[in-house]
Amino acid sequence: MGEGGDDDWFEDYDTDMSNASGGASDPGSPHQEHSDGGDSASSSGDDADDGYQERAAAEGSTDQRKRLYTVIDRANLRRMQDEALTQVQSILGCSSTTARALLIFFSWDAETVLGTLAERGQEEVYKRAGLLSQAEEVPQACGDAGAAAGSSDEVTCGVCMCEGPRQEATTMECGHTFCNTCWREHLRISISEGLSRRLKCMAAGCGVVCEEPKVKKLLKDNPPLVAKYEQTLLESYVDDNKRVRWCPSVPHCGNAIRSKELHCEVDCTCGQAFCFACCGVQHSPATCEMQSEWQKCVKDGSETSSWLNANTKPCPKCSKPVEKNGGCNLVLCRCGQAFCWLCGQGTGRQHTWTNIEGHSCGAYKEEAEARADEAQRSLKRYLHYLTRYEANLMASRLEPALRQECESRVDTQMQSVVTSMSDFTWLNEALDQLFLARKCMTYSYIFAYYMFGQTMFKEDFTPETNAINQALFEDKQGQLEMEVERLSHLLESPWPLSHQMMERRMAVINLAANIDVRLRKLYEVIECDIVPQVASRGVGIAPYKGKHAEAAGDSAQEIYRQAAAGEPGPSNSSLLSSDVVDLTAADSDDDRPGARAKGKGRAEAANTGRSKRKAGS
Amino acid sequence: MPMDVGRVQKEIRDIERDRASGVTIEVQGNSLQKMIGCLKGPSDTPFEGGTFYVNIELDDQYPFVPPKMRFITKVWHPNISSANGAICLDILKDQWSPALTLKTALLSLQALLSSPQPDDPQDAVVARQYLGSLPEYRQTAKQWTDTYAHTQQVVGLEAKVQQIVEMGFEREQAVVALRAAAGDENQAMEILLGA
Repeated sequence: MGEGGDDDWFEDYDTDMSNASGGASDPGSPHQEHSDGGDSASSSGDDADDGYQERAAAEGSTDQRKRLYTVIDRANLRRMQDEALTQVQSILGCSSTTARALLIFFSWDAETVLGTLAERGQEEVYKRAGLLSQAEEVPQACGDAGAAAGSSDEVTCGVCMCEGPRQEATTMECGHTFCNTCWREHLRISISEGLSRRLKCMAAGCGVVCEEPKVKKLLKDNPPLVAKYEQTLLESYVDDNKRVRWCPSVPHCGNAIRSKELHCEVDCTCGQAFCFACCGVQHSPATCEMQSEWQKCVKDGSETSSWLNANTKPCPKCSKPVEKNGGCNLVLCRCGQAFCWLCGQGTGRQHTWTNIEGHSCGAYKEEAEARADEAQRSLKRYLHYLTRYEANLMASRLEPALRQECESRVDTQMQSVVTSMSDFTWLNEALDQLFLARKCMTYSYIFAYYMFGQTMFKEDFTPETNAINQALFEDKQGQLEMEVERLSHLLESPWPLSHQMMERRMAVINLAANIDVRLRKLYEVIECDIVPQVASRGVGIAPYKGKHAEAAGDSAQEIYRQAAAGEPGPSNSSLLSSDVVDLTAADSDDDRPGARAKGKGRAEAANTGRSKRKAGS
Repeated sequence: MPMDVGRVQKEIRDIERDRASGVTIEVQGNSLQKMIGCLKGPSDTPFEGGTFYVNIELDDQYPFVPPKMRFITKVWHPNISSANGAICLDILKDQWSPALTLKTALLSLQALLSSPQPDDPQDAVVARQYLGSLPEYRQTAKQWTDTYAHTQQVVGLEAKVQQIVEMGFEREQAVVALRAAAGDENQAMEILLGA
């Protein structure tokens, strides 16, 4: 990973993250999941240790993944909001109230604020956002209906219709004056009804937003209300912002996510993994629409019921569905009731091949037959995809167990004296890759079910193009599946003797790299071949979020190079502990709660390791 | 905080003083929370010559929240429900301002009668008719005005209402019944007892 590569994302990363991680981030801390570009660049410079380079590469790609979105915690919410406010304020030279009103009106998109201002002119934009343009601000010193003459010491409040001293009345920016008691009541009711974002002046037809300092001054005797007001203003940065969403974790972790893309898979620092667009589970390469349709389907088993409808008839006596498994049209239910398959009416048992005694119900209907065929075909198709979807889902449920198993093997290996291997980054990376591939496989079945089903995308594909697409997709999917199963098998099978461990390591690394390539090929087919053909609807698919998403080839080669050079060779103590750092780093990259808890114990080891190594060099 | 009684009293006095405005108001009971407003149908409209009664309810938070208003008199108008008299008017909803009053609200209702806004309808059937065949709408509205809101029926109405209220009926019920009975108190009583 070159320095130049760091620079190109460093720019936007800086605005997003340098504040988010704040001054608290210690460059030496092993928990550098949010480490900014400066850190990894400088640290890879300060240490030329091979194990360390691997780690820097891993970090770099994690950051690349993080590039699409930023996790904002409570403390940083205010800072990010203030930043947006300051930006607009400094360009327009307006008050923070004005800036806030504009930003709220334009969903916190500063570019749109400035763009629309330039396009439509200040007056129109300000008016729509409930603001006075600067030209208007000055002259309206004394108001109309509501406010009394400016010079007098007494003012008549237009709300309570009482006269009162001027010092107990407040005039808002728009020039409308009302007594403080009425203002307070108005603010109290508006804030408790959740209208804090746009506290309007009380005058009829005046939509001007009340200034923050005056609101706070009026409410100074009611701190809870002020707190609620401020909280709502603060949360508006998330609630009204199209690019920012709350993390859907329950109980809520307090974090918000800012994403550059709507279709993006987010892993919050709290461990919650979700799709930014629908806030549900991550489901790439299936679209949100496919996912929700599929879940509905799975939930109500509607395909099953449609098959039942087409292929069974309820017994007229016990109402259980009865399938005809051969023979003539007289069907005998398990309960003993006989009925006519054609019309479903109960009959006696006396019959011949052609008729039932005392029963006549007209001709056989071809249409019904065709319907049954169609329903059965579609059910078979559904079951095909369902089985594969569920098999992969089941395999993903076993992930934590596999990870745990691997970790305990690592621990055993580390404790044994005659160890030739001390770096297990590769193992963690392979596990990550396997799990990611499993997830993609799972949802690729949903994708295929809808994409090639000729229902959701009926208008987009002719049967011929559909067949080509399906063949292309299934080819890539098949290749991926094969590699996934191989890696899964390799990781689950017992470890060989230590001298064969290097071979196993190479095989695992190879397979993981292969899977990554296959996944990218699969996404390529989806994104470049299939999706562009769709015109009937938007197809938003979150991109592949592989660790090696872009630099995969490079880092794999890097690993090959090291492996070929027979590293890591000597098991001296300083190298050993520095390799533990690698494992921890990979762990915490993962952001899983389990991995987190584990990472803690290792953090100390990592710290000591680092200091040792520093002393050594 | 209980309702601002002082302001409501002032509002009522103001309406009483300004006879020219064409709107009047009458308090129900002692609490100042229920009243009946009355407005004249604007001239050059199908509502001309009609007298329209509006049920008004004030929340404890009035005037910081809008008053609840509903037509008692049946009206054929795109923004007023022909079934229950519910009104679709922005100032009675999100555009309410504490600086508005019952009088301005009633005057706005009057204005609404003369300029319907069929794009934001309360009664879809009426709105469709208004947009589809305006003459037909005018005719129906006029008919409804004649049937339910004609001035002649109002002659002596107050006395009759009072009479019925004294017998223990709700005022609003009494007004509705009298209207339905075209001012005949005996028939109105029959309606009330039947209901």
